[in-house]
Amino acid sequence: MVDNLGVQAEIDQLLFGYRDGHELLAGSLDVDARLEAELLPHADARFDNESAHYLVGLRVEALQRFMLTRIWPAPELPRPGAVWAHSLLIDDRALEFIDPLLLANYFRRPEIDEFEPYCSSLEVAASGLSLFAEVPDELLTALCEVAYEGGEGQAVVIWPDELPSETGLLALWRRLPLPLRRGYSFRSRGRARTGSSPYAVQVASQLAGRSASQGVRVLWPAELEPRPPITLLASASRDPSHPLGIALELYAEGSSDALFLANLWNSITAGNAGDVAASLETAPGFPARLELEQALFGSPAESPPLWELSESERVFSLLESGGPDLDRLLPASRLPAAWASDRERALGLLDDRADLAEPAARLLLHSAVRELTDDELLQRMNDTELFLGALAERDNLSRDPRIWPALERSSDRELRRTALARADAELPEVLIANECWGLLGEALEDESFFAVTVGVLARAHPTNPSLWNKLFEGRWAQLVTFLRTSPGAEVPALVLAAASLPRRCLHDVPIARWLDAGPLIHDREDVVAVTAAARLLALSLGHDSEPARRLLIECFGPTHRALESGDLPSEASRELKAILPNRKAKSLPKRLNQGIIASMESSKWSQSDLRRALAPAGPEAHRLVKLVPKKHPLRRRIENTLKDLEELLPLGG
Amino acid sequence: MRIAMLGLQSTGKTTYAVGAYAGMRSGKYSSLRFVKVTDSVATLNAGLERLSRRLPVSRTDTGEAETIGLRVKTEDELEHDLRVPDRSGEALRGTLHSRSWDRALLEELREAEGLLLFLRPGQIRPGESVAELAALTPLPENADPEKEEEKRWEPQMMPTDVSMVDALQELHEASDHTGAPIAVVISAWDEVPEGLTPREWLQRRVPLLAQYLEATADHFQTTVFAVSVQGSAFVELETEEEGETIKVEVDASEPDPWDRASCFDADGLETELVAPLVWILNGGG
Repeated sequence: MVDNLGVQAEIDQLLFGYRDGHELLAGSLDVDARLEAELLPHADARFDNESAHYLVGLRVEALQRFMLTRIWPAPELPRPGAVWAHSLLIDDRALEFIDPLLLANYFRRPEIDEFEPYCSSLEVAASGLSLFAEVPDELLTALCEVAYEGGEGQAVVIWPDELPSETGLLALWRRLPLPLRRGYSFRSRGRARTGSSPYAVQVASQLAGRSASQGVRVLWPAELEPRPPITLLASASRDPSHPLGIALELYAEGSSDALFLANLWNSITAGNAGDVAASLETAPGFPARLELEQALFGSPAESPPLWELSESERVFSLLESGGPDLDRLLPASRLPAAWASDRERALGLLDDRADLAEPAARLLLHSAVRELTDDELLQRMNDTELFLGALAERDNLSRDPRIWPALERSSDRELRRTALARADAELPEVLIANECWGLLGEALEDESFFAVTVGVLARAHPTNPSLWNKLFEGRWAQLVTFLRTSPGAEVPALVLAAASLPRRCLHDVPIARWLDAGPLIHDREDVVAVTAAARLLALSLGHDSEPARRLLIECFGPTHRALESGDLPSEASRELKAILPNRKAKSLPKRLNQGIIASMESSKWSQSDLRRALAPAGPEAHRLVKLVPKKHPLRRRIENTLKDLEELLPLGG
Repeated sequence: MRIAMLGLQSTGKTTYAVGAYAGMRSGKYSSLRFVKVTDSVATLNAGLERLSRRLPVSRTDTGEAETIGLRVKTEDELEHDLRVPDRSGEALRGTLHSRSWDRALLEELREAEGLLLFLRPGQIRPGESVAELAALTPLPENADPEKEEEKRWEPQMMPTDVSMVDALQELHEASDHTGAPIAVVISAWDEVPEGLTPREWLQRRVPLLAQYLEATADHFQTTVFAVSVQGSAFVELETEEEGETIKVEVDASEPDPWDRASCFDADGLETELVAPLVWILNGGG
């Protein structure tokens, strides 16, 4: 029964007795003549012996309630054979959480003409099952036999004592699966005929009538051979705390379910895991198999022998036996215990899982990706299925640097792709550190990885053109696109790109974008920066725009200095030679100076422009002066600028 | 042969069955002799025990009809398996009040080859009194409603003869009951003042029923009997003295129940208690 403690149920009541014939005397709800005529037979009885009362229970469709009635003899009334009957009308909701044995305490035999208490409904507190039913085994077993094995047939159980009969009926009824309980019907009486009746079962002290009737089974409990499922069901009916009873309450919807559960419980208590598994496999249509199986296997039980087997034994046994229902039989939550208790056996099963049934292999694999250590996984990198699963499940695995060299050697492209997809921002460094150039090359196909890698190189290796070239050679177009479309690209990356891109590709990036690298180039003296300066200077000389002029200003100093010192790489020198004016002049610095003066003349450099351009130009910058005619206004500005710079920065020489 | 007993509650159906059974078992009657029981007679025996102690027979449980199953022999030495379901009068009452047949009762009536229709003089409802009719009549416009108590008509206000005619008509509608003889049994005849034959009593006290039976005589044989199974009203034989119930022993000279019982035909001639059964067994002749 569900836990509804604290809930109150409103139970309507009716009182029947003798007035002008046996009739309804009082009630908490309206009952018309037709319904009264329908109810009367179930609220009346003949008392042939000394019985104190009888019990009747059946569903009244017209009321959508279950009517539970106790009937007493009423010898104080003038008509011999008159009775009182007090009926409690229980709705479906209340049926779920009221213990009928407790409800029986609400039956009240009336006093003559004191019917007022029956005119209002009763407030009954939810109880859940709580009362142990004191019922003889034989009687309860017979009742269970009828209820669970009797099918649609009717039965009469012969039992001499009405008190345990009533308790037995209530105990039986309360444990029936709810749908069955709602529609069940029963009564106790003195004498029962064997003809057809409205009740599934009657308990009577004796039989009436001589002829055996058709379709009505008569049981003498003492003559019954107890069978395990029925005796178990009887125990569960008697004892509210019986585990089988709880399973019945949760999972059974009909008598076949109940019998199935009882048989299953029998196998469990016998410790027969094989039978349990077989039972579960051969129970078609069971309504809540998954929950049941999880409940039976997933939770610890107190004492039944099955649970004396270790959980790992049960799990391994189920894995090895396989079966189509294994997914449901073995929820993933059960496998960690098996891994923990016998890792070697689990690993053995994992490695040989080809021998297992497919569901078992799949289940084991899924658990292994979580359970295996990194070392165990690395030892099984050839097990692509396992490793892929692990990569997908475990965030930290891709951070383990040991996997990448192994993956670099692996020819499994899917595995490599999956691993790369799981990688984080640190992967480029990891791959670079482990010289996984193949993986890096594959990874760079991905735009986001490409961007991350560019950033990593810009930050960690800003002056390492060979690494840059190793990664991006052959991907210049991708790099250009990235630079064009990624305004946030880090400036050192621009410098590296300017130093490394083929000359034709430099033109594909807007001057304005290159200009972002200008300040850094202006301030750096490494070969990457110098190369970038020379190449961008050459680029800017071919453009007539303000960004080109600005870029020229930024790049002139480093380029001039490198030319004078001979530090400019030959490739960059060649590019300059090709574009600088006055090709007949042998001195490349002189040609550079002439080029810059031409720019100064044409675009009217400011004093600050001059200072910016000349500041890093090195000690030979004064040669600029001689290239300008003496009366030219530019000459004086250059002289003054150089003089200022000499004061601020010792230019040497 | 199946014979149905039809009557409202407390009209003497079970008492008659007990008396007839007891008389047959004792060999009192020549017209109908007991051969053997064919069904449980526990209820009959229990009733007989009560009658012997000058106690009324217990009422019948509304839940289950006690079928009286006997093999009997008529004067012509023919044996008959007599099956008489004893269903409580509440079943008929419920049928009349709800205007819906009690299914078990209807089934018994449909299967019956003869019908015993029980009336108890002391329970006859002759019809509304002038006061009751006035209460049912709409008030005049100038009447003071507060001074007049309006009374809603209820099924139980129906006169007995109307009820019985209603029941027979409904039965006729619901079944092919044409031809099955109907014996009206007036019970507790000892309570009726002397001077009337059973037929006269029927015509005077339940005239509509009498007229109905006459009018439908072409369809089925009818007659009327009057019976007194107890012989007289029982006095209280259990007394309370100082909180204890004292059972008064029946005097040894007290006649047996079957010797106390009496039966009269339509014309008031005494006959055997089983005469109504014999009349039906003979096809209403």
